[in-house]
This record gives sequence, structure tokens and C-alpha cells, in this order.
Amino acid sequence: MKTDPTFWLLARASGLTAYGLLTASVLAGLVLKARPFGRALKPAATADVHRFLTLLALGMLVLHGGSLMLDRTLRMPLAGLFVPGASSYRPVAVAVGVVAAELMALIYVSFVLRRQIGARNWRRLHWATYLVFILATVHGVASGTDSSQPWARDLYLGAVGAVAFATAWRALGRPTRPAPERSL
Amino acid sequence: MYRISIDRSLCNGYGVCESIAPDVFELGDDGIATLRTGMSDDEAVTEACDSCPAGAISIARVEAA
Repeated sequence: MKTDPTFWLLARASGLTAYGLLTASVLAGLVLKARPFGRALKPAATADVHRFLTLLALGMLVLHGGSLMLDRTLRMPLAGLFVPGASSYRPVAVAVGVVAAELMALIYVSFVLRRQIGARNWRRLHWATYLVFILATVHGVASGTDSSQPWARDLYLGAVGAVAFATAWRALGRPTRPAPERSL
Repeated sequence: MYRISIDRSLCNGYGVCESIAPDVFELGDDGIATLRTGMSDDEAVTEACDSCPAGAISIARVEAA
């Protein structure tokens, strides 16, 4: 009997879409800090877009995991979606994706809880976004069955290139004055 | 000259203001922006005000005495 490919197709599409949304969210966050467009973009709107893209990406990850669980191609167990290494399909690559997704959810929740954990701790944890992006890229390339396609390769190269460029812009593009010494 | 104020209940600790005008703004130990000075003639405070993602900074132009 032929297997219904609906959930398999949905799993692949939602995974790639989640990666695209994560990339867009990282870029929006970098635009917020680096301000490459000066006053042309309203920072409050950029912050809203940044948070909304992250929420959309997390929603797409739920769809990604749900589709993989319902699909009959890989037969992903529920534990495989939450416990790194519990998947029998490409266990290391999937584990990297699980860690990335859980860290991403933690960073999003940390914004909601920033008053409780402190803004300074929230900012420190936010640096882990770079780790999420790296892990998500590794997961996509290593576990995605479309990774060998030219369009998929272009997607990953474009995303990594864009984030690297925006990060360099933030680090080098706009010098800021050093803070004066704190008075004792 | 500008009179500057921060609504700390709105501040999310993004730190954009501190990077634009570190003579005026700094992040406190709690990660929330505080003022080094309440008055400044530095034009950067207008950009810091416009750039605050949380809209937590207010400025008012006052005549220098």
C-alpha cells in the first residue's frame, strides 16, 4: 500500500520554513542593535517584528515535530522530539536539532520572564541565539533530505552569509563611543 | 540642552541607548537603563530617544541657563 506523503512533505516544508523564519528573526534582532537604516525604521516596530518572527518560527517547529511524529516514513517517537539522541533516524543530527529548538524556546521564554531573571541575565542568554542558529544550520544540512538539492544549498549559504554579514556590520560598521569610567 | 528621563518600568534592557550615548545612559546592575546625568547638550540623546525599542526614554529641550 502506498504511504500517504502528506505529513512527510509537511515535515520537510515546516522545517525549512522554521529555519527561514529563524534567520529572519536573527537578522531583525541585528538590525535592531546595529541600526543600519538609521531612523528610517522604527525600533519598536523592528522589536515587534523580531519577536513575532521568533514566535512564528517556534510555531513552525511545533508543526515540524508534529508532522514527523505523524509521518509513517521516519516513524519518529515522541521522545525523539524532546530527548537528544532518542531518535533512531540520524540520531546525532536530530539531537542537534532538538537542542537548538529547546534552546530557542528557552531564549523566547526568557524575554517573557526578563523581569524575574533580570534584564542583564536575559541579555547574556540572548547571545546563545548564535548557537541556536549554528545548531539549526547543522541540523538542517545534516538531517534534511533536501540538503543535496541546489536550492537547499543556496538557502543555507544565503542564510549563513546574511547572518555573518549582519553580525560583521554590527561589530564593525558603526563605532560607538566608549563608556566613561564609573565614578566610585 | 535636553532634560532626559527614563521610564524604568518600560525599559527592556536592550542597551541601544548606552551604545549611542554612553555619557548619558548606562545599564545598571539590574540590566535596566539608568541616567548618568539628567541634563545633556549632546545631540546623541535625541537619537537614543528615537532608537529605544521600548519607547522608555523621554527628552525635552530646555533653554540653557
